[in-house]
Amino acid sequence: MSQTSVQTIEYDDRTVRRFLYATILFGIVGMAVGVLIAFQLNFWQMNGKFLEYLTFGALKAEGIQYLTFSRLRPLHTNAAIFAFVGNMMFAGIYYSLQRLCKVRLASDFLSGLHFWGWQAIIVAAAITLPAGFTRGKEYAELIWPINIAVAFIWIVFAVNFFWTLAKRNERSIYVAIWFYIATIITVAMLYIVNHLSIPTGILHSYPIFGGVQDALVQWWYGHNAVAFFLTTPILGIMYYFVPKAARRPVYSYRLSVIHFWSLVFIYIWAGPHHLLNTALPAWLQALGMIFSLMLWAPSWGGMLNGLLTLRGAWHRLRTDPVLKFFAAGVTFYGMATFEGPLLSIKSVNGLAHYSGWIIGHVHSGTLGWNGFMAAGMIYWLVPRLWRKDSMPAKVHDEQTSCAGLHSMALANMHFWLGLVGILLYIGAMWVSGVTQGLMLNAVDGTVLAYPDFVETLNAIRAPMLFRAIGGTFYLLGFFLLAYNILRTIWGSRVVNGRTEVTVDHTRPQSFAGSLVNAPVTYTSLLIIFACLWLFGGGLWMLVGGFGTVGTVVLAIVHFEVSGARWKDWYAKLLQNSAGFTALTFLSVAIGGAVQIVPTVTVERARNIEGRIQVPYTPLELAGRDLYVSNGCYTCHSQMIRTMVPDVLRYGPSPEQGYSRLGESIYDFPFQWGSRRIGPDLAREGGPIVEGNQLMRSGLRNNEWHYLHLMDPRSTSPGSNMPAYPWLAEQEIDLDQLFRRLRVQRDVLGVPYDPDWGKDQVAELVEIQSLEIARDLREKSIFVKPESEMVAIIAYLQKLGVYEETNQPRTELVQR
Amino acid sequence: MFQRLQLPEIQNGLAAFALVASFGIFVYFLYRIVRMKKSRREYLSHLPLDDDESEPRHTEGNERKD
Repeated sequence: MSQTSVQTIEYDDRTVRRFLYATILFGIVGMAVGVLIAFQLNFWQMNGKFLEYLTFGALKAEGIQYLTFSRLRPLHTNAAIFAFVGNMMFAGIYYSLQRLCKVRLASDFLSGLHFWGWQAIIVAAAITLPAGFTRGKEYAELIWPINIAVAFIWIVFAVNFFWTLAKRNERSIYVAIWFYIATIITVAMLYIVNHLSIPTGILHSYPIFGGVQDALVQWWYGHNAVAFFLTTPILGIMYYFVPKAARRPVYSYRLSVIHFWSLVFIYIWAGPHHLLNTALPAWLQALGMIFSLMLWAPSWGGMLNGLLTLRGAWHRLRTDPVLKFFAAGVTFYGMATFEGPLLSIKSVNGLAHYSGWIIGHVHSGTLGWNGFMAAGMIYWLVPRLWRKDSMPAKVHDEQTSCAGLHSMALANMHFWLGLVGILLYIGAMWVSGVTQGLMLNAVDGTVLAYPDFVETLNAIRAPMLFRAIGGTFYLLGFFLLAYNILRTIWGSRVVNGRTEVTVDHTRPQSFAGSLVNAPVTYTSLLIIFACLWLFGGGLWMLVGGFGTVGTVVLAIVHFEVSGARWKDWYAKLLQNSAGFTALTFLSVAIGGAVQIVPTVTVERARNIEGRIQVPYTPLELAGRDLYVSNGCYTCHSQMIRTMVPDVLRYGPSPEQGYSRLGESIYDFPFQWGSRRIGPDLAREGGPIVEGNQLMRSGLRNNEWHYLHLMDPRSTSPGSNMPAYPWLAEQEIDLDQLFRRLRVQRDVLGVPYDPDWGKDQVAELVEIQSLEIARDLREKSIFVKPESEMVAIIAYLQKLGVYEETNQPRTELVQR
Repeated sequence: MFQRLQLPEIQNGLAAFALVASFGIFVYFLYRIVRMKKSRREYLSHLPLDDDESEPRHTEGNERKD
């Protein structure tokens, strides 16, 4: 018998308002940096030289290291993902969670800590990334102390969230909250695994994985950061705010069940589609491609559920900016999730990967899906969280769901500016990507049709400019949002929602009761048997096979015989958040475990495909760290794919073929890259030059590299690359280098001489740097041997140096 | 512990069956699960609309400085 009482609850909307402020502020920052770097790709002068023009020559600068594309691109991506979408999602989650649970957030202190902690992380990122402090992995660039802060604040968020959920006055958990749960647990899992690092100092660390292992872990994380940071929370927001704005229940609750479980189960497997045609083992590539194709169904199920919720409200799109943004946002979700699987087909990927098409695809998701859903949510929330006397009493009327907004016309103009901006952007990137992809892959027999890389860049000048213009349109639209919101809240008073709830004091569904039942038991058995079948040998395989078949038959018979009682199982599950969370974790963990565990536990020495990288000398390692720190990976890949055009273009000789696993085995982090704005550098280096102890020379000599880094257009007319003159001025830090080398040797297993001390390392650095400096001096180039320039040249001359071997080289791979 | 059992003739068939069976039971479970009672489904899908705050309810005496 239920015991109930009635209580009045005041929601914590102050936290929601704070996150809304932060969303708008960091939205502008992130998009403005994006526009700047888009123009940098058209005009290299935007890397700092423009300051010389602006100050009429008073400030002489060939470039400014803190403003180079390669330093700002990580700032843009991190700001857009974690600052803009992050703050937006926290606002949406906290607002809807309280209403759906009919309870105030569990702790004001935790809410405040979450807000201020997250903003502190963003500020720390904004300082460290342009300064060159990075881990060198996309969307995972932040240095290890900030990683710890992110993990801590995420735990604060999770505690506040689950505590609120535990205190809820509504028994059942609505679909939006399922997506929030999936977000919280999966992001925690991904973030922790991909950020496992060994610090070498307060600002630097090496990832514990190297080469292919690092690549797989990184893109398992990178892909699912898109899935569980940019998609699932926004889907939750869609399931809450679209019905609110349309004043209609979600189109199909059944479809939302299918959408949720199939999406969270399938998404996590698709990460390897970022590494198609690379050295990644073929079985992982196949899994990545197949699961990406399977994603079509749940993604479109969700999109249709969102759009069909608007049935009967379509006419209001003419007058309601909120619905306009939501309808377009969900449509872009559909477009992006159609394009994603398409790009995951191996042959399509061969054309599109490393090209602008991928960038266009990402932006149709972030600008169209995330950005428009954010705008719709902000316009809907603001007249409800801030009020003034001049506002109409009804926020939701016949025309709009955001009456009281300062200007509907400005909101509409924002929509159209944003829409035109996105279409210009992604249209330009399709043209750019397909054009450059076709040119780079064009071969006549065994001869490249366009051997000069810069030629392919020149062919995409126009679309690259349109892309920057499209981004500017979108930014202007967002400025209109900021102005409109500012005018709406100017002189207003803040309002916290209140509601009367009936509190039920009876005992909810138990944890065990929600988990120990036939559907969960059959699913778990099936997973165990299927794993035995696939991965076990001999008798285990037989047990697995018969077990799988038997479970299927038994489950079907049991389902049919037991009949109606099963219908209530899911409804019961929805009453227990712990049981629901456990099952969600199981769903996302399976894919990760199957792909990641075998790959990171395999004996690396046996998986080198006949080649093993020659370890970097100390000076080359210093140069590599500078390469990572300067973000060179944002434009240059180090991976010759298993494709004829790649081999012909970057081989450098056809006999060397594509990149093998062993060629990057000592790369912490891996540097395979994801975009070729410049050519691949995997085999840039070469042998030791006769008469020298350590100095190497590869495809190009030291003089070429020096001139190229000082003024890229002097050696490569038409190049986009910024100049890096400060490399010739700044010096490497030997103490730091020794600490880093020691970590590589003692912890990561790179086979450096165990007897090397600081003096030996300094001596080796001196020998190699003097050889390079002397070589340059013979060409009348005077550069300090201890400069960063010499170190980075040493590194470039080492790229792609390996030994052939037919034996597992356990002595060379100590871990 | 055991030697891997080699069944080359039926290996592909077994693998295909494993895939189809796994996927089939997954779909079947979902099918059974979504057959919740209609009243329950309707209740759940109306949850966001229950607490419709389209009109702010407490604008007086509910002011707070951020």
